[in-house]
Amino acid sequence: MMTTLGKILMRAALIVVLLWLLFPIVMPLSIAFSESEAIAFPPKGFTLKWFYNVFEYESFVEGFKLSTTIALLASLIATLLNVPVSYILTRFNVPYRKVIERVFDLPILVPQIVLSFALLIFIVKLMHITSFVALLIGHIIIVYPYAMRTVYAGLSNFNPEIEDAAVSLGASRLRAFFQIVVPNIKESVLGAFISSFMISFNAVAISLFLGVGNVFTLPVAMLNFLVMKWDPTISALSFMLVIFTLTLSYLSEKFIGLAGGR
Amino acid sequence: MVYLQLENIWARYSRRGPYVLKGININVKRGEILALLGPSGCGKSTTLKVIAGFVTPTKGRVLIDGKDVTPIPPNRRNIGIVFQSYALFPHMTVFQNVAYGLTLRRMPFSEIRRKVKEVLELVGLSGLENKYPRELSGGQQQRVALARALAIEPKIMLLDEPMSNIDPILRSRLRSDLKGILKKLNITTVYVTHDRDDAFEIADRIAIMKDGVIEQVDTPERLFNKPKTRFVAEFVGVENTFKLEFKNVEETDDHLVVNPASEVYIVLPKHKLSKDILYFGIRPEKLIISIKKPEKPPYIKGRVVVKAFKGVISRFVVETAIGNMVVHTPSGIRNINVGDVVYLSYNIDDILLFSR
Repeated sequence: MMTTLGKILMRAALIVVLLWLLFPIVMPLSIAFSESEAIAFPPKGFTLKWFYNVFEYESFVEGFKLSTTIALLASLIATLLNVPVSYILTRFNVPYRKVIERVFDLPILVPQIVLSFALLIFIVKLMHITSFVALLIGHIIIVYPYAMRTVYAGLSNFNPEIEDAAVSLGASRLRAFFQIVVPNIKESVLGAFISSFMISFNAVAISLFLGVGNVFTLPVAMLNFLVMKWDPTISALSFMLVIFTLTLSYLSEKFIGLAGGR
Repeated sequence: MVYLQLENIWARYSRRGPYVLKGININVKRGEILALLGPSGCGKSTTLKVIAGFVTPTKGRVLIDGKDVTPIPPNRRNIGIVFQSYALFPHMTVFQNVAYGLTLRRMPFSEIRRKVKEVLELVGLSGLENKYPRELSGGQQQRVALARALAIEPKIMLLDEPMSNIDPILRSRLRSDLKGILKKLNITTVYVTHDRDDAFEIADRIAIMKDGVIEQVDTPERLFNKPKTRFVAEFVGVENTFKLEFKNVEETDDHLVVNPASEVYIVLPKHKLSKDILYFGIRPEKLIISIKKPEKPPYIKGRVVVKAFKGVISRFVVETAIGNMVVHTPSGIRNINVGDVVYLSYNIDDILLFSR
């Protein structure tokens, strides 16, 4: 039994924590609508000019295009590579499976800055691959473990007897894979794709290290902007990015939720 | 006429792993239902996988209708399987599930529709064509799995513990339905189970397996009355099996009276005895329990430790000098209770003897 006072205190604590989390995000975003030239709180008046400004600034537009392209390609490749790898790991008696799974998790466990540095040395300095391709390879490595977690879970939850049933009815292994396994794991594959996309889109360190030359992803372009200028355009862009990411995470949760609820 | 034949099958799951099957020989006649009965880990499911082609034996052959099918992959054996989990395709309707094997055979759609209708009628599922597996009860799912396997008109039907996910109250009815269908189609069947009632109700013959070896293959009646080994005996309900200690043996014209402990007299018929006999057993329902000491052997003295009413019968556990013995008697005995000293006697012909 909890006293009334206890209940009130619990609720108050909850509200304080929520505000603590939300305020630092909401406050700078509100500046996006401020008429003032400076990044200052509270915002004055209401305008949408900073939003127009975002589209006028070429580095942001190019950065968004590059980030989206890299994220789409990296997630697509990582997810597609993942399906057969996870399939083999879940279905066959692979020696040292536990060790292999850990290795695939390494890009999550190693600090991103260390990984980025390592990839810079390996991809750019040793293999002499530069710019776009280097960036793409780096992003594939970064997102692979995230894609793997979802696809792997989807495949391990799928009863292998169902596949054997198709084979006993006359299907080849390949046909059973495409007609029976794939339709039943497509939610986890889609979920893996969306979460990889978000990881890649938001990755800063890897893009800073590998984006040698003139290729700047959106997060890098934003950093560069802050170094030179200090006006609410950045707030407007942040506002749009928050909406973008929230939409994606809503979609991914919906798909992963579907995959898990089977 | 032998239709399915397993010849000295040896199998294991990894190259250096232990053998799961150690020389399995089975003959199943055309139209016969053979049950593989055994505890978990005895190799019965592996045997099924060898017949289906999912496990390749390291040694031995599988023959169907005299033809060696060992090198043929599972998708070209034309064997119907009902899996323990039913393994229905979750993204397909009942119709699509049942039609799947026929579609693969490139049958014209009108014929597929006719065939699906026919097998769904046979298993009593007409009208559920457009339902998805998750919308069906366990019993209905089992029937879809059966219909899907029957649709391809398989040479052989394999069933892997199909009753384990079914409510016990429904099991008996589903077993007779299943047996009715299999017999009507005269289909050669191998039925894997760890449940004795399952095997006894469904099978024409039962193969009892233990540690990758077949202990005995016989009709349910013969298994019940003449189990060959102690393990088989225990599996078919001979709850009382003991090692024989030939101490204080007295010989009469046609009997041997063994008296290993005070007031324990085991009488063995001489014509059943051979040199290698090591164990004896007796069914719980063949023991007679009484407070009065019988006039002459065989009898075994003991004390009641458990009395349980089970409906038609009551179950007593009696502690004796050679171990606990289980007695089943028709219910209604009121004068024997826990703690009472009792005497267990039996008909000498009911004693079972085993060499292992």
